[in-house]
Amino acid sequence: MGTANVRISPSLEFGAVKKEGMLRQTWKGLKKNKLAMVGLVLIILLIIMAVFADVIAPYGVDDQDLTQKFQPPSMEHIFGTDDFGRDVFSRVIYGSRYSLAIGACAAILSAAVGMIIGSVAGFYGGKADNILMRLIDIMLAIPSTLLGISIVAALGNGIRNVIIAVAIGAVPAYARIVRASILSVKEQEYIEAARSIGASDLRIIMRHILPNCLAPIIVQITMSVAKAILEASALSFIGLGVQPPSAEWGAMLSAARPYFRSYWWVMTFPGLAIMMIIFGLNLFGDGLRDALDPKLKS
Amino acid sequence: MIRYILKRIVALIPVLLGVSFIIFSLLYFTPGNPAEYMLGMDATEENIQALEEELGLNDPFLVRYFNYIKDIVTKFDFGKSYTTKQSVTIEIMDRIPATLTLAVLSVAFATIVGVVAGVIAAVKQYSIFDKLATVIALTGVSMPNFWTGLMLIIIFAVNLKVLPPSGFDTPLHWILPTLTVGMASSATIMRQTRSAMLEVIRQDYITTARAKGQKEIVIVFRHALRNALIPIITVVGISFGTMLGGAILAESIFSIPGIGKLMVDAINVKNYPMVQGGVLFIAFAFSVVNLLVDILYAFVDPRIKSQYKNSRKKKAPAALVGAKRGDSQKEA
Repeated sequence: MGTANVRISPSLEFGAVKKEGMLRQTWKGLKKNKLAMVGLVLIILLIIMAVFADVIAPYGVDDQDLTQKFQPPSMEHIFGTDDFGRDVFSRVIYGSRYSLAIGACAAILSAAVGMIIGSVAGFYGGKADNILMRLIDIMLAIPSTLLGISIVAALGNGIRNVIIAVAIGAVPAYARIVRASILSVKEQEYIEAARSIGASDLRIIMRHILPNCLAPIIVQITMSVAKAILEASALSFIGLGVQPPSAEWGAMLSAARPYFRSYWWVMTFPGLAIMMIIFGLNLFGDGLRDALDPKLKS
Repeated sequence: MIRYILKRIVALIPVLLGVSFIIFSLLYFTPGNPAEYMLGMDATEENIQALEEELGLNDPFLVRYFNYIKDIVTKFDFGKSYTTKQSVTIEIMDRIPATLTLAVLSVAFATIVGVVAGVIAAVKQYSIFDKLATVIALTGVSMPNFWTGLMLIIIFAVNLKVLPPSGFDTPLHWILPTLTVGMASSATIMRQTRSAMLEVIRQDYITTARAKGQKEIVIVFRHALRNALIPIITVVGISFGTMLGGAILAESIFSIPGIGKLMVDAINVKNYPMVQGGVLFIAFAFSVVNLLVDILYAFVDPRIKSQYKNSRKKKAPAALVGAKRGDSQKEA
């Protein structure tokens, strides 16, 4: 974000057009958007939950009390207890750690890979572009849930493999967005200028092209965190991802499935937790898209 | 136009070959020996070896892949299911009606609800309905659809006892799975319809139509909606993929005898030929739908149709479609 720290020169203080950094401008736009702020609050809540789980949760994540099986929500257990007498509220709190880890890691991984593929395809064009984009077409031909299922089936269960599976499914979107953005700025004069002073391809891509394509990528990252959390929970739910007794939300739903008709609370609260965080990320992502859209800035 | 369609069908072949190669390699490297799974715990070493030989499990990777493709192309044979010893082709064919019914119902539900709500929200922008629809849509896309399904079962089957909790025999059985699969997509379609309509509604020709005294309903549906259809069709096409994925989960929740349930069951017992066949089939269905969507553009938008007719090189429409799809990936 090269433009983020624009120094305000003295002359600008006298009524001249004030230049603002992209970060500050975006933040200003975001602050006006109430829904986006609600989203941000939900995201911050999740982070606080994950970091301070030990302090917030009234019970330990695996504390069993078989005399307290399937207690409905009460003052003692506000979300009730599950089949081992574990406190559902505490487990939902601890579960935020899995979601945060999966969401963040998968988004970073897929963004990195997608940006490399998209940059190479967009910048070099020709054969490289053709081959890489056909590869992306192939990946897009498999619905992402199905691709995730197949990859986890091949790699085996566990949080690391879930992250890889979910990330691979998200790569095509990044590759396409980055490629499209690069194509739109590649022919600009400042790229030519950079090349004329002998900058290497890598430098041009990293220093000149990508910073100018950041807006759609940032929005995509917010959205793909949400998608990653949703897909990971689906994988865990069908028994392919994180395994019970881990307190991952999808795994909790999977473990609760045999009992959900008699004890609604074991199923309801982990799902609500997933919903709240996805809701927050979507609201924030939408707001971010509007705030970053130059068409709406006027 | 026909040349374009033919070209697209030919272009499907490398994509499907690529899909088959990826899935084949993924399952090839999956730990575990299918022969051992098939024979169970008390199989002898000789039995296992004999079966491995029979299934061709000892051949090198490329030989196995080549044989697999050869059988599909020459005999339309996707191999034999490891568990039932039946032809994968037949088992998949048996499951198509349920999955197809669910898919068609869900697409219809999502499209009707999404487009109608989106149009009303756009026409009455900033009204109570608009705000309500936006919030409901955002909630809809935020719910994991398997969880929605289970909640619907708790509400309508367990508590209210008005709908059956599982199965797929009568139209009554179809309601909950259709809601489960279609709900999230209807929200995505609604949002796309709303923003596409808002863009069109501010155009000059809408003002002109109003000025000449055209009825509002005609303006909305004939002048505005028709011009907003391209992004709506795009998002419906993309939603179809999401719905196919959602159907896999919904089928397993509602015990629907469809391809999704078949595949989840097959993955759990390492029934590779079944998984490969299922993935290929779904990828094929998805690609065909994408092709139909692209052809539909030409019927909806005469400008695209004339592009097909005028230019020998059909790069432009493909680029247009590609860019649109990239955009709406974010929505999905």
